[in-house]
Amino acid sequence: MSEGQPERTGLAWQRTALASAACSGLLLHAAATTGHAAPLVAAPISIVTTVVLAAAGAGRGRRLRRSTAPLSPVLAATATVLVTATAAASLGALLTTLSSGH
Amino acid sequence: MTTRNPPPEDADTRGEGRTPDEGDGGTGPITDYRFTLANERTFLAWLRTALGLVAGGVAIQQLVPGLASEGPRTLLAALCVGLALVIATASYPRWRAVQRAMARGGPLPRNILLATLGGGIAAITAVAFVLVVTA
Repeated sequence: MSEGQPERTGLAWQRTALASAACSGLLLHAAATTGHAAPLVAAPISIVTTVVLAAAGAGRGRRLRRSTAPLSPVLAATATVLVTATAAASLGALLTTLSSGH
Repeated sequence: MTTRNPPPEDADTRGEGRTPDEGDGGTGPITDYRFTLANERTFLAWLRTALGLVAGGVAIQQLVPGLASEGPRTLLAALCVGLALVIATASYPRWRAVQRAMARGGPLPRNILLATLGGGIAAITAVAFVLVVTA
């Protein structure tokens, strides 16, 4: 049995949560500097995404130490919906900024 | 183009370390866990790619005001985030389709995400090049 596979998968979850945290930081910066409402919506969505990815990744890592069962479709769909919501809210924030002329 | 599942070179033929796949309700052949975990990591890599594009788009709009005027800069940022939206949306169906293909023991489905990402990054690079040259 290849012991490294579950560990690498757990680390991949942590990297994904870190990428989401970087997004959250940038969106918080945008919310603090532009004064627009749109980044104020996008930043909390990104923060929620980060927290959920970190928590889900920690749980998945623990489960992988006991069993190599495949990823739950519910967890995969949840992660997808949250990342998609972050991207959609960020796009909305950018387009709002453009239309307001700032 | 379709790709067959690679044979599990050092797979445990006794079934140890293998997991029933959920893709067909658990009735199909048992998939080697290394393949399902590799598919999970690929799924996460697509999500990270989307998040990286979102971060890049927001950074272009917020952190490099000297690159171009507001409109072209926002256009470039919107291209990045729009591509992120497409990739994030397509990542789950891709993961699910590969899970099902592995459960059936059939060929992997075509991957149009790679062509989409390549084309999108080429477009972003072209717009960025024009902005840098004309700045």
